[in-house]
Amino acid sequence: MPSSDYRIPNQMLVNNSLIALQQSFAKLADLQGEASSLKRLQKPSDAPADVVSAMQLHAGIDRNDQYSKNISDAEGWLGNADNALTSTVTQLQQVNSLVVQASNASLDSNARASIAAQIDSIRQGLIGVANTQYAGRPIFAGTASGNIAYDASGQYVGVSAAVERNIAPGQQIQVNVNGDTVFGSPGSDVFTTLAQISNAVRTDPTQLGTLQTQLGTQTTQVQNQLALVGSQYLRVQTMESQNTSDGLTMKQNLSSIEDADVAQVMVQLQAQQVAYQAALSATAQAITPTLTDFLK
Amino acid sequence: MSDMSGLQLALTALQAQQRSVDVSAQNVANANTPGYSRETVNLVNIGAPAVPARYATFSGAGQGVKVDSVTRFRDQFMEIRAALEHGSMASLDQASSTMNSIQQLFNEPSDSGIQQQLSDFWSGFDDVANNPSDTAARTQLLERADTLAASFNSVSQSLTQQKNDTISELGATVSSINTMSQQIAQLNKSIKVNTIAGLAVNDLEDQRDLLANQLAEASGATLREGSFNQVDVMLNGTALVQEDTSNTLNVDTSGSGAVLRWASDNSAATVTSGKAGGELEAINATIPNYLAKLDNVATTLRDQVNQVHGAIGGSLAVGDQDQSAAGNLQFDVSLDGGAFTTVTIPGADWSGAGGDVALQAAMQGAIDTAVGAGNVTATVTGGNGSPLAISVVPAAGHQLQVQTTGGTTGFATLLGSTAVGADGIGGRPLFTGTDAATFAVAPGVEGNPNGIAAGTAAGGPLDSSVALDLAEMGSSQTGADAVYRQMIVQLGVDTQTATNRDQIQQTATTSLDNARSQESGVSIDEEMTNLIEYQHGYDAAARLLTTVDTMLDTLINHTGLTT
Repeated sequence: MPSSDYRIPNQMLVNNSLIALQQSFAKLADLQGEASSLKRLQKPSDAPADVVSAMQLHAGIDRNDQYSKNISDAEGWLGNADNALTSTVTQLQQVNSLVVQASNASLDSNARASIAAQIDSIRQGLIGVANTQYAGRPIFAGTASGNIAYDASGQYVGVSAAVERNIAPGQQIQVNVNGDTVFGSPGSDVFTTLAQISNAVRTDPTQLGTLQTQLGTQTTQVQNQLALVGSQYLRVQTMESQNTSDGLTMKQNLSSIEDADVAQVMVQLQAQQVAYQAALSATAQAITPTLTDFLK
Repeated sequence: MSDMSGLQLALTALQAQQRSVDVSAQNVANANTPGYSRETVNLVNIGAPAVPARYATFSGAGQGVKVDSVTRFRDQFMEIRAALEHGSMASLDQASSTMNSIQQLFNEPSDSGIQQQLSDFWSGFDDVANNPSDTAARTQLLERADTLAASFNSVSQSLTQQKNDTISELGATVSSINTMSQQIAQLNKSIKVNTIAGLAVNDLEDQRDLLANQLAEASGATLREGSFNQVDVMLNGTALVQEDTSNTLNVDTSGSGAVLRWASDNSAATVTSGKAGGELEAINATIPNYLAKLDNVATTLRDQVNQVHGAIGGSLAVGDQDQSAAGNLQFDVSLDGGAFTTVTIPGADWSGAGGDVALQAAMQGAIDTAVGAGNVTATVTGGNGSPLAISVVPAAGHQLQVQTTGGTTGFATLLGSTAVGADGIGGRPLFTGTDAATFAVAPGVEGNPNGIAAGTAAGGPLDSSVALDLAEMGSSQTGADAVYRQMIVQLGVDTQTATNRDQIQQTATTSLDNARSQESGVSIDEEMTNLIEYQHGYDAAARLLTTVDTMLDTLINHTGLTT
């Protein structure tokens, strides 16, 4: 405001005081908004580049949270597949030892029938394992809409296709293994082999040698898939810790961009309050007296 | 000098001081009157006659004092500059308030702005991908799409509403411009007449100057001093007020925005400053600019999502190109929501050279038979050792839906990459609308959660590859999110610029107002001092009168008397 001018009319004094008060009050209002929300950014014009970084980080954090949900889901799928395949391998090995037992020529037909019954029961059990569900979906049925991958007779009813999850930006991971990949293509799968073994144990133990080799190959195939599932599971777990640390980093970045420095804001607010009060009292004192007050 | 003339002289002194007190009183009374210019009494001493009379002598003492004139303190050049600055100020005020309200409309950054809704929308696709058969996930996604569409609509409507409100404001501004122009013309006339008659025009001029300043503030017009104390008001070279005539402005809203026209010849008036200039800028540039930017966000979103969600096409791998053993390949098509009709393409060997041409001709012919020629274009490229790329595109303004016929394989074979909903129908766009105002979830998907296409025709019933791709779309650097954020950055920068320019202009205008105030404003202290001065002058004149009176008394009553 001018100071060296030759005359200061009253209206000018009033107007200047008013403008100064309004400016002071506007600053006070801004600081109060910042202090009450503890957010430095209230509107885009506060700091356009920062606001957009903040929006990007908000979106990134949301996306990261969704990835975290997807990762949990992927872990569910892969974890269940891992358990199912481990149990499958164990049971197939058990069948293998039963076959060895049955190959013993000294066994009578009753004993073989008992072994065959055991194998049948394992087969039924394995069909159950092949129908393992996660969140209502059979995990070995690909993208089929039913709730089983193999029907009671061991027939594959799945639709082989990849089931994938978004687990990180640009990263889709397959979370399933298809029934026909694990257990063999329909017609020559584990369940057919087991039925043939059971039949051979009952009727024609001479075939058991060939069937045992076949079973061995199929067991190896299941083990291979188990290893694959295991490595996928490991990858998902790595992504999970990556996801957590990404989320943390983004939240920290967001906080440094968006959050008000409490101490700083409070000090500024206090200072501005003092300044505003000073301006008020100065105005009150400056406007009131004129020469009239001192004339008798 | 005679004794009698001493009385006359004292009288002139009394009258002059009294008049001075009156003017001071007028100044004090108008200390807070807007537009009032302080006045001062110009006193001149009555000296010797300019031409001495033949038989008179002049003593040389003077004949007293008289009030020559009462003049107002006003710097006309400063007024003209003030008019300019106030014009710019008003237009920048308007620009700043327009930007600030646009900024408020977008409500960013917040947990409820369009950015958040976009994030939620994209996440919804992941939930559908995780559970393609879950209606709850699909319904949630649909709700989010609806919310997003409603936000686009509402922001767009608010912007349009703001534009319409500004047009109404412009109407009010223009009518006040016209009224003020008429008043100034009338005042000019009175001022001219009074000036010629030699009468005081200070108060008329004060009124006129105040109006002229307000007119400049409203219209951005410039002032020009005319003859006989008149003022002309010019609007970019055309006279709004010339002496005692005024011109009238009209608002023309027949186009997409608003234009000001001269009533006299209906030509366009160029108004770039003042409140009206600011309002025109908001109506014709600022608001349409942000509407267009918002439309761009909406159409980008629509196009990118529909490209994945609604495109019909497929790819035949080299090993699948010999379909001669497959019999008839069939799928059903529906044009513009009509009934589905079956398209039958006899399987053939398309693996060799010319396979693409043959398949394209076969598909085009079969589809034309089903829905009529000219409505749909089938294109097949590649082949002869590389995959055949197939696409089926409806003509502009048409919508084509495809679905599988029971037991046939044509759909999955030929159009395998078509995204299909849980109800087995493909080719439905997710969004419709030509701009942000009409942006909506497309019919067929609206209210039908199973219409959301999560997977492809060839991917199996619970395929979710399409949803997975859509979920990732929010992270795209060229996607709707990025376009939206670009707009917000622009909005922030524009608002900041407008606010800063407004503040700078405020400083310039204030300092000019102060300078004017220093010239014309009333200082009560000064007036009080003057009053005391005039009071003392009056006291002294009265004293003079008493002295002369006493002298006359001595002369008349006490001289030459013998007692």
